[in-house]
Amino acid sequence: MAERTKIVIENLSKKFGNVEAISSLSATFDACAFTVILGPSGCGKSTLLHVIAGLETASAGKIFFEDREVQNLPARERGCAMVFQDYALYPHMNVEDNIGYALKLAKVPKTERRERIGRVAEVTGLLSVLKRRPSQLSGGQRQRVAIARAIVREPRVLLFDEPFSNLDAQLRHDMRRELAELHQRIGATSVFVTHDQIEAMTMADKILVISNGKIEQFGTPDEVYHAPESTFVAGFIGSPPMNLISGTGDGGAFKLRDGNVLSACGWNGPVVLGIRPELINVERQGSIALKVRYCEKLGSHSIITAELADGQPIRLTTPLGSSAEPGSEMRVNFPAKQLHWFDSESGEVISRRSKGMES
Amino acid sequence: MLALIVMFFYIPVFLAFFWSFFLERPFGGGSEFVGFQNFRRVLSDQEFWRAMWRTLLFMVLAPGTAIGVSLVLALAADRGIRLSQPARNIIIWPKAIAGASIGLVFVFIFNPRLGLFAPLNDLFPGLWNPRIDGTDAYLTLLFAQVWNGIPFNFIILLSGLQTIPDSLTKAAAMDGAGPWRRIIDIQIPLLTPQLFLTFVLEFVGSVVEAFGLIDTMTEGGPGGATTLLVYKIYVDGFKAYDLSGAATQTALLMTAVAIMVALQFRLEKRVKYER
Repeated sequence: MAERTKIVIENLSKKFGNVEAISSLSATFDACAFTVILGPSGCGKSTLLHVIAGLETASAGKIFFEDREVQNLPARERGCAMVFQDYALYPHMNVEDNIGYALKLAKVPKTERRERIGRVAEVTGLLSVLKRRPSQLSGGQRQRVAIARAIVREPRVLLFDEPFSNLDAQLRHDMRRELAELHQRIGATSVFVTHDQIEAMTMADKILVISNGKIEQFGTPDEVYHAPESTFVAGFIGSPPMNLISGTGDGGAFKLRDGNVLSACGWNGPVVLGIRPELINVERQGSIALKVRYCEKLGSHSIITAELADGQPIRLTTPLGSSAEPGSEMRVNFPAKQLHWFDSESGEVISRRSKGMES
Repeated sequence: MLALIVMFFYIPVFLAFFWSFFLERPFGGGSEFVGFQNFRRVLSDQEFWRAMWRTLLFMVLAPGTAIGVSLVLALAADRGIRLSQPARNIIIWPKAIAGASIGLVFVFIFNPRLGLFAPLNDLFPGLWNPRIDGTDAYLTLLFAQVWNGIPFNFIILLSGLQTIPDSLTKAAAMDGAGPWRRIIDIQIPLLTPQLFLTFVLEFVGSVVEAFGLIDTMTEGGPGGATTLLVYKIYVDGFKAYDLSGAATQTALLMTAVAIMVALQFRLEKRVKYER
């Protein structure tokens, strides 16, 4: 339905005064793909979206929609549509006029306008409320109006700025599914900004993880989860996120500061070990001793917060039914295949580091 | 509080209506009930109708211009154009000046020989002279009233504009609206409550506050060209000692203003919306 448009970003920078919100960022968002920009608040993800949309001007760098260079065009000439965090519905217009405002500005004749509004309203389940004002709608309905308003123009690029952050958990879940289905149907190149990793993991074709205006990792949800490229990604994705334990590689063993050996290690010098909480095995004869600090029972599983021998915190999830008393000791094993190794200074994953470092 | 309002507002209003049915002796000493005789006398007076017409014209022109200018200034300040920060402060200062002082200043500014238009008068003698020409005097009065109203309207409209969420303007920009379309389709409709407030206040002010200006600037002249109804009531009542006539005109003026404000409120109900 929509034209195939891939988005290419080249060395994009955005400064607010002296503060650099985005620094020399390059990425390609595939045509018709659903790309999620994920990062903590203040990392520059919304700024990036606004620069793509044309609501903010880039300080440097280029943006292409397919072959067209757009970074100097005003928002209305770029052919994107956007769904805002607070919906941004026009309070003085009814639902029909809200959805049709863009068409009216584009001078689409009235009969065609009606027809297109009707079609979009049907898809988004808004037919019965077309004559209502936004203030008379529920949160979910307002969200749908915002989405309907964005897709009615059949945009080449659809941008979402944390659209679900004002919804309650159940509604958020439903909207995620609806939006995923809608994306299948429309096929516009979509960029979705969120700080919610569940949204990112469930909806994305590819996730762009950014922090401090720089790319940490750009990959599929599987890659981001199973092969984090930096300690930032490892510590951000997952609930609870990956454990990051600093220690030293010495003679083929990974040692804590107090000399306790946690596992084998192929590197020498300071290094960070990463392991997912759900992949730690609790075993009576485990080689690693932990002191339990706290246990959260969540029903389907429990999350245990514990301390390593040198006092570093570690979290592990245990299956249904098992729990531990605070203050007690437990023994665990780290499966050798599930370990990730990161550079202790740059935070980058070590397998990318030059082989010369290996012993 | 309530007692004060009753004492200083409701009782005088009531008394004005009460006295309009009596013939009051100018130097005291009793009054006489005359029914609608005062009204008949006032309504058949050509001078009353002329003053009424001037007042109505003033009630349309002064608020319209004052709000129009303030709106343009507020929109400019809201868009954050260059120098809008210092301008914001400077525009507010005139609010602290009393009507009589403004009048005095404008008498100088519009003085045909010393003022702003003096060079113009050198080129075209007799082009501008508010002391002789009734239209010039009326314009001077209008200008002073508008100038007086801008600071307050500006503050109200600017604060109104700033409560409009940024994302609405951005959404309109994404929908393809340029700056002008955004002003007309989004900002002004959402500014309706503030526009309404300033309009009602300006409207009433153009009847009431104009008195100070007229008294210092023109004293109703030349030839009655700036005698608005408030000023005529003052002259009739306190200079000519026609107390009953003044009370009657007060009652009529109050009724006219009340009707118009009521109409405005009716109108406001139609354009009301929830955010």
